Parts: sequence; C-alpha cells; structure tokens
Amino acid sequence: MTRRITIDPITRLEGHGKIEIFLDEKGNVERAFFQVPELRGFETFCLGRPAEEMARITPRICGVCPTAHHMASTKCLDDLYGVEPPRTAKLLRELAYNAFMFEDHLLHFYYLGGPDFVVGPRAPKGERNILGVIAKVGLEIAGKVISARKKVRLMMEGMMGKVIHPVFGLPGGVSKGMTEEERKDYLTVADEALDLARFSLGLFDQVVLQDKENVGLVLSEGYSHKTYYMGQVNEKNQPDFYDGWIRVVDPEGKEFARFSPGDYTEHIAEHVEPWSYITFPYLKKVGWKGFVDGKDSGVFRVAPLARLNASEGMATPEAQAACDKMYNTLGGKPAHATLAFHWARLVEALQAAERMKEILRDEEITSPKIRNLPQATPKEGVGIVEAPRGTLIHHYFTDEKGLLTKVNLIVATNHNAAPIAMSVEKAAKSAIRDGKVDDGLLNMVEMAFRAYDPCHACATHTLPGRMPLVARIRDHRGEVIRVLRR
Amino acid sequence: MCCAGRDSSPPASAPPLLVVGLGNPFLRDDAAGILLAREVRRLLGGVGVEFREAATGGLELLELLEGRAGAVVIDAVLLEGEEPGRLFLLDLEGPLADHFDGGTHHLGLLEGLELARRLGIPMPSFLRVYALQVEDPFTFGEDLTPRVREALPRAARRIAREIRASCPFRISGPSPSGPLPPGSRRSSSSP
Repeated sequence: MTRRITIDPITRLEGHGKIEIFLDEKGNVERAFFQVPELRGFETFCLGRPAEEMARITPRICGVCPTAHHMASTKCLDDLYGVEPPRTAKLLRELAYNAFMFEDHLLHFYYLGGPDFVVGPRAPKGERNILGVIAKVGLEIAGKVISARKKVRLMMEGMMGKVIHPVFGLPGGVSKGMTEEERKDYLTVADEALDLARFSLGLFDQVVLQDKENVGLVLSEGYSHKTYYMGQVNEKNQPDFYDGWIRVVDPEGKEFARFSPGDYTEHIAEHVEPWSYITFPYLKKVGWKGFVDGKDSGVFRVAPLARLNASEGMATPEAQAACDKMYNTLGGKPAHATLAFHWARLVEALQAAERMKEILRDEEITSPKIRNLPQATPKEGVGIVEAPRGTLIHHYFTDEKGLLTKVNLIVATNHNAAPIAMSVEKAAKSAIRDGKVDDGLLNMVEMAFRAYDPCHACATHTLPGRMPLVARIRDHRGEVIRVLRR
Repeated sequence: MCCAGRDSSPPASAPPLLVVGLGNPFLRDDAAGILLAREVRRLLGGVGVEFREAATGGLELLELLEGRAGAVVIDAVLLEGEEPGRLFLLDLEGPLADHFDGGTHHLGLLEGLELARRLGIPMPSFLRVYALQVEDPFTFGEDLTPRVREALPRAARRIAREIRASCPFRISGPSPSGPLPPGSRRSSSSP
C-alpha cells in the first residue's frame, strides 16, 4: 500500500529560501544574505551540442519564463550565424513575445505580488493569495483574468507550437507564419488583453492608490534604493522587450551607457561571493563597491521599474499616460521605490497589449517571407531580450561546425541579485533592533524580494506549492540565536 | 483554429483518464515523474487513457486537468529525511498552503483546485497525485541517480496497479512485457 502523506509545507523540491542575518555586538543587523538553491552544471550540459538545440534546451531551464529563454536563444543564433531575419519574422517574434510579457505580468500581479496590496500588506497570511484576491475583487473579475490569460496562451500556442517549450524561433526567422484568418482571430484576443490591462491599472488605482497606508508603504524609505537602472530600448529610447539597445541610467536618471547587445561584456562584469553560487553583475566602469547603492556603486537594477527608469517614455500612447501618472505619484523619474515595480509591471502589461494590436494591424504580418537561411560559419553570438523579470543575456561560442564550446547566460535574477540582497538587508534592519526581532520580519523580507519577481531555480513542479523561508539570526560570534521558519 | 472563441477543454472524444508526468528531462532526477508516466503508460496500455508530459504545475496544470473525468499526476518530490525512491500519494484533503512564499510563480495544486472549485471550473472527479522521492533534481544531466533509477519500475507497477484498482473508468488490459515507448529508458535494475 502506498503511504499517504500530507506534504509538509517546509519541504519542497525547490528547497528552502535561506536568509542569514548577522548581528553586531549591540544586536543590530550588520549584514543579511538571501540564498536559494542553484541549478548546477548547465554549461557542461550544453558543451559539444549543436548550437541550434539551445532554443529548445534553454526553455527547459525554467518552467516560468521559457519564452524569454527561447527568444534570447533564437536571437543569439541569428547573431551566431550572422543572419538577419525578414521583417515579418521579426514582427511575429515580437508579437509572440509581447503576448508572453502580457500574460506573465498579469499572472504576477493577480497571483503573486498583487495579494500584498489587493488584500493588504497587513492582512492575515492565509488571506494574502489569489483566493484572498477573489474574495476582495469578486468571482467575475477572477474569471475574466483566467479567461483572458487562457486566450492569450492559446494564441501563443497557435503561433509557437507550444507555450512552455516553443518550437518557433529558428536562426534567421521563425517556423510558422500567420494566415489572415489567424490575424483576425488574434486581434480579438489582443482587444481582450488590452481591456484587461486597462482594468488592472484601474484596480491598482482603486485598491492601492486610494489607500494612503498602501501609498505610504510603497514610498517608504525602507523599500527604496538609489541605484543605476538598465533596460532594453528602441531607437527612441522607449522600452522594447524584444530587441534594441541596452540603456543604463544613473541614480539621477542621466544616461550612463547605451550599447548594442554584443558589447555587453564591456559594460557588465560579474562579482562572486563565497556564500553564493549566484554571480552579482555590476557596471564595470563604476566598479564593485559591495552591497551598497548610490552613484559610486556599480550595482544596478533590472525588471519593470528599472526598464521604465532607463527609458524616455513608453512606446504606446495609453502606456505613456499610465507611466506619466505613475511618476507623478512617485515624485518624478527615476523612481527608487522597490514596491513600485508592481505598478510598473502593469504599465508594461498595457504597453504589451497595445503593441500586440499594433503588430497585428501591420499588413506584413501575414507575409510568407518568414526566414532567411543562414550562410555564415558560426563562431560567437549574443542575444538579449527583456524577460518579465529583467534583462536576459545568452552568449554562445562554437567551433566551425556549430558545436558549442562555451556558454554564458546572465538571467534577470542574476542582475537583481545584489539589489535583492540589499533589500532583504534593509528589511531585516527595520525589523531587528537591539537584538529584538519583530515577528513580522519574514513578511517584510518577503515583500521586499517579491517585488523583483525573482526566479528561483526551476518551478517545474506542483508539489507543494510554496517555497518556505528559513531565517537564521546569528550573533556577532556567528552563533545562531534564533531561527524563524515559514 | 480560433482562440478567441475556443476554450482549452478536451474534446468530447477524449479518453476518460489523463495521466500527466511532470518534470524536466534535462535535470537528472527531475525527470522522474515523466519517466514514471512513460512506464505506467506501457503497463496500462492506451485504451481509455491519455498520457501527457508537462513541465509545469500551477495554472498550466489546471488547464490540463480542466474538463477531465479522471486524472493521475506523477511528479518528483524532495522531502526531508526520506529515502530516494520512495513513492508517495498526495493527500488532496490536506491543509491549503497559505501563500506562494518566495515568488515561486506558480499556484500550488491544492490552491488551484480550490480556485477551480470557486470559479466553477470542472475538475476531475477522480484525481490522484503521486510523487517519487528523488535525490538530485538540481544538476543538469539526462541520467537518474542510482537509487531513483532502481526504484522506478517498482513505483510504476504500484501506480499502475492502484490506478486499475481504484479508477472508476474502464481502461485497457496490461501489456507488462511489451517494449518501452520511444524515448524512455529502461532501468538497469531488476523490478
């Protein structure tokens, strides 16, 4: 007889999120780290394989943002094989990618980050989830979210073969074009997406912005870091999730760098700490000064608010209006409020939905010219997209047969690793004073890192549905004096 | 195809029982759920059963289960203090996880079922979730760790036997000595 169990919530395949907090002699926080389990051996796994397999392998790194890996890999293969896709192929890729950004951002707002605000940051833990959101906004809206998301994913499936493991991008193009009938069908999906994006911003306005306590929390110093910001932009310096240049602004909002994807190694270096497998990217020309913010520290942030800070306005009209409203409330640009990443995420979802419509109205979208065949001998390629959670870099080297000799991937959570550590430390400092630990510590820490929408290991499983947190608090001698678990 | 007016429910002709193997075939033991499902497929045969492989839980899993009469989900799990290779059956009447700690990006299964119930999304009346205790789901590779590999055939036989004994729908007879389906790997250990 098979043993029947109830899964203990402190065990899960992804392991524990560990927080190590070190106190000084007076019992105040000296340093805090946030660690998560790391996947191992990806580079070794890839070496010797044909580079073109990467667009199918890398989506399996992560069950959360496979489309981002697929697209970054596809663009990397374009570069590796020196082939420029036809305009129609680029439009199709951008359309699929914006559909992905839309549904991923909406999922995060309603299911992951939103409950903190919609249900309330001080609501009982058991209510701060999607079921609590439903209780607050009603079943009809919850059904609308599920329905719109499902249709967008069906559209992605129609375009890319599979949503989770796409078979769409090829070096120099895509595997499937679009018929006129599909275009008309997808336009109705884009309309529904646009309606939901508008509604969600309205809900944010109603639930978050009309609540002074919520606004105060978003603007509070405890959730703020003055860092550099990075994001991909188009020729007008507007956010472009699929393609463009990488733009970096300093903590005052002035352009610090603007470069092509292939030049990223001139601007980004990776710092290593002995306590983590995660590397901590920083701006090479500023240098690594530790886990600190400010203009003299090379720490930068990526993801929605960072992308908006790094741009000069949005690429679509309604998103522009929503963006203006956001910065007016936040006190101008750049905004440093970590919790405002949630708001920026909804502004980006609106741009994604508007862009879907724009692309679908382009007559070239149904052209049969969807691929240029690669002719060049491969050597090295770089592909960058903006994943929902930030800039995603794929960098491959091959021999003359196209077999991989070196692979470097810098994922969004890498870029944000140092800021996440800083945010966790700041939250810990506000919850621990003179050796007294506020029982709300885990809540505060959780809200701090969830704003970044970090991707920890691979969420490929269903058992069980949560990542437990364990916070170990150590005194100045390194002895564990308290352990908090959830 | 029309996605504006189409839902993702299975067609009326879909077999009554869906078996889903969950996991990542490139992450060593993470593939256990998928490999178990393939072996269960071999043991159960194809009539009355549809087999799917999936890489994710959460809403995507709910969409797979929507409108199905019966479903069996097979996954890998890493429980503290348990021996690799041990098979578990999830108690679906257990307490609801109270949050998505750590930004896991996914809805827990129990929460998903509760969400479906509240929204009136039809879920299988017969639902079982199995999980095999694994050892290394964190390293990229296409081989299982030895104890998990050894346990796989026995665990598959147990799942197939329990499905036959408890499933309220008619499914085909066994084909225990038949060849493995394409892409699956036979365990080197004896059953």
